[in-house]
Formats: sequence, C-alpha cells, structure tokens
Amino acid sequence: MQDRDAEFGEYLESRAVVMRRTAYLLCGGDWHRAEDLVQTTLTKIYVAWSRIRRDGSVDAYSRKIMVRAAIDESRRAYRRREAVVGDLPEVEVPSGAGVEDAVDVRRALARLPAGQRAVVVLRYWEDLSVAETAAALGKSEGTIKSQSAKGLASLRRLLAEDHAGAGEP
Amino acid sequence: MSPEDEDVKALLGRALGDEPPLRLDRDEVFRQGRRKLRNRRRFEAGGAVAGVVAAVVGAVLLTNLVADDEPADLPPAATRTDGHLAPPGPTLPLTTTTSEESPPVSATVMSQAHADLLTTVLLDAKVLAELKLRTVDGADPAFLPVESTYELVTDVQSDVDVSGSLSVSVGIGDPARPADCKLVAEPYDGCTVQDVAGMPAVLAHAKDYDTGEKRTMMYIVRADGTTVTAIATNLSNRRRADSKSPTDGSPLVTEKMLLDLAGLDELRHSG
Repeated sequence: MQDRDAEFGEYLESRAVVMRRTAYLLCGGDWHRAEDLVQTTLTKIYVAWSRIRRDGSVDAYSRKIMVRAAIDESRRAYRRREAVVGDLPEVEVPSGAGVEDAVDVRRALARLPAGQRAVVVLRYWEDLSVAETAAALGKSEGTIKSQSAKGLASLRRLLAEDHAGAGEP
Repeated sequence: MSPEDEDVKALLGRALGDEPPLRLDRDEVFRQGRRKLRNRRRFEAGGAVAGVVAAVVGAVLLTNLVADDEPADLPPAATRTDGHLAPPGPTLPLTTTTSEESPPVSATVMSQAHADLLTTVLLDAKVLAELKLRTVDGADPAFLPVESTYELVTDVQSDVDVSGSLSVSVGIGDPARPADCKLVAEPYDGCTVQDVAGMPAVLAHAKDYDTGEKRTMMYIVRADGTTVTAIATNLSNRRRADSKSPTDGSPLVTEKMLLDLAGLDELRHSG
C-alpha cells in the first residue's frame, strides 16, 4: 500500500501539469473542467495502478481514460444545453499580446464535435500515430484519418471565420 | 513529425494561453482512489454470503486475480474482477470429506467432461436463445471446472447492440439450507424469494453508483445439493476491459431468464 501510494504520488507529481494541458484542449478550453478531468483520470489510475504499471501502460491508460471521460462529459445533456448557448467558459486571462489569439483558437476548438476534437488533440498535441489514436478511442484507423482531416479543416475554417469577423467594421 | 503537424501543434499550444496555477487536490485524489477501491471490492464481493463462503473459493480466486491491484488493508472479497463468482451458498471441498460440518451430500471429482455436458445443457436450453453469447476473447462460452464449482462467464449481446455479461456457477451445497435472503450480503439488496419448481430461489440487485453498473443475482439450492448462482450485469467484460461505461438500463439477462436457469434441472453438479 505504501509502495503503491509512493509510486503513484510520484507519477501524479510528474504528470499532473502535462495532463491538465491535454485535458484543457480535450474539454474545449476550461481550466476548471480540465482539473476535474485530471482528478477523475488520476483517481481511476490509482485504482488500476498495479496492473497498468506492471503492463507498462500507465500513459496509454491515462489517455484512454481522460479522452473517454471528456467525450462522455460533452455528451451529457447539461453540456449540450451549454453548447447551444454558445458561451465560452469564463477563464481568467491577463490582457496583452497573444490573448486574443488564444481565445480564438480555444473558441474554434470548443466548436468541434467532441470526437473530432479528441482525435485532433491526440494526433497533433499528444503526437500519437493514427494506430495509437485508434486504440485510445476504440475506433478504426480509417475513422481516425477521416475525423482528423475533418477536424483540422473545421478548425481552420472556424479560425478564418473568426478572423474575418474581427476584420469587419 | 511533418512541418504541417508541427504547425497544428503550435496552433493548439496557442489555445493554452497563460496557464493558471495547478489547483489539483492531491489528497483528494488519494481519498477518492481509495474509496473507489473499497467500493469496487465491496461490489465485487456481492456474490458472497455472510460468513461461510468468502473464505473458501472466493479467497482463492481473489488471491490469483485481484489481490495485486488492491491495497492490503481492504477486506477480502469473494469474486473475481473478470466476472467469475464464488457461489453464495455453502461450499464443499473438491473431494468427499469427513468433517462433521459438511453437508450430507457426496462431493464428486470435477471433470472437464462434466463441464462440457453443462455447457451443452445451458446452450441447448432456450433460456438465452434471444441473446448472442461470446466470451471476452470472442470464443463460444463454456463451463470450466474451477476449484469445487463449474463456472461459465460470457458476454451477452442483443440484436440492437446492447451488451452485458452473465456468470453462472454450478456448485454443491447443503440441501438442508435452501436459498434465503438472510444469506445475501451487501451490496445486494431488494432481495426476494421466488418459487422455482417448488424450491426457493433468491433474486437480489446491486448497483455501483460510481460506474452505473447494475447486477442481478440469482441463487438456488436444489434438492440434490446442486447450487446454481447466476449474476447478470449491464457491463460486458469486453467493455470492462476497455474501461468503458455500462450500457443504460437493466442487465440484458432478465430476472425471468435467471429464474429459468435456476429451473434447468439438468444443470447439476454431478451426473
């Protein structure tokens, strides 16, 4: 028990910040939700710790749990209601250069369907291959390729729309 | 990584903006993790009956399959994580015993041939005809001799792609101690006694509020000492292995199906 807690504690300390960044992107840009997501993921990792550490699959398990939790959450009714309203979550951001850019990207990311967003994040942020992404999401490689292409196209289109809108009088 | 991939990564990185300090409650992660472990163990022990059972078959199975994931200070459980179950009734050792406490039934040598016979009986009966049965590895389900019981574990699937699992254990117990709700331990509740061909069978339910998994358990002791325990859940072992959530609703294997299993007279511990 003590060994387990010590090992898991080290993992938590070393990975929590990185996990939160991925969680933030997966949930469409909300640090509070990202921390909830990380907490949920870490709790499940704790439960399965002995097995996944033995298998050498802690990070893969972590990604799988986190991405599925993010997708599940986004599918819940209350999340759908919030999405209809279309408001971005309130996030404390300092003013200054780059802030508007961050908000634009976050807004575009938040508008992607949860599944596409997960594919984009795993493929391009976590640097997973198509096969690894397919395994993490339980989908075929063909689906991953297709969702990846659609997700990127949507992301660019939404960003272009935002920039065009910002340029209008 | 191609230059285009790097561009996308940089784009996603821009979404992060300035990161606020991490406010993750480390102690809360540990607290919740330990609580979930206890709940899971309690839930997995749900097939157990107070006192008699857990120490015999369940403890052996648990040691092999679960213990490594569990902190040492948790209470023992009686079932395995993969859905195998310890029968919730009195159990006998593998061979006949002279113990005064033993039930007055003769234990038999376990055999694969008898396990195969039980498989045929279960699959030929029309009880589960509406469902597709497959093990987590995609094979046809089959009874196997496990300690002093015959066990079958299978995933079940309907035509509309709803899935679940079913575990059936055929053991041997004491006909003088028929199924009774007093034997059903937490987390099962809502226990009822049903009449199956003049014999009492218990039905009880459990829910894991963390995962949404629901279980229905049936237990009967027949006149010849054969015990049949069946546990149906709304979470297939395939989905469990993939860390997916249970399907909505009750287990696919209904209470009626479980009681029909209880009434399968040819499902005997010995020929």
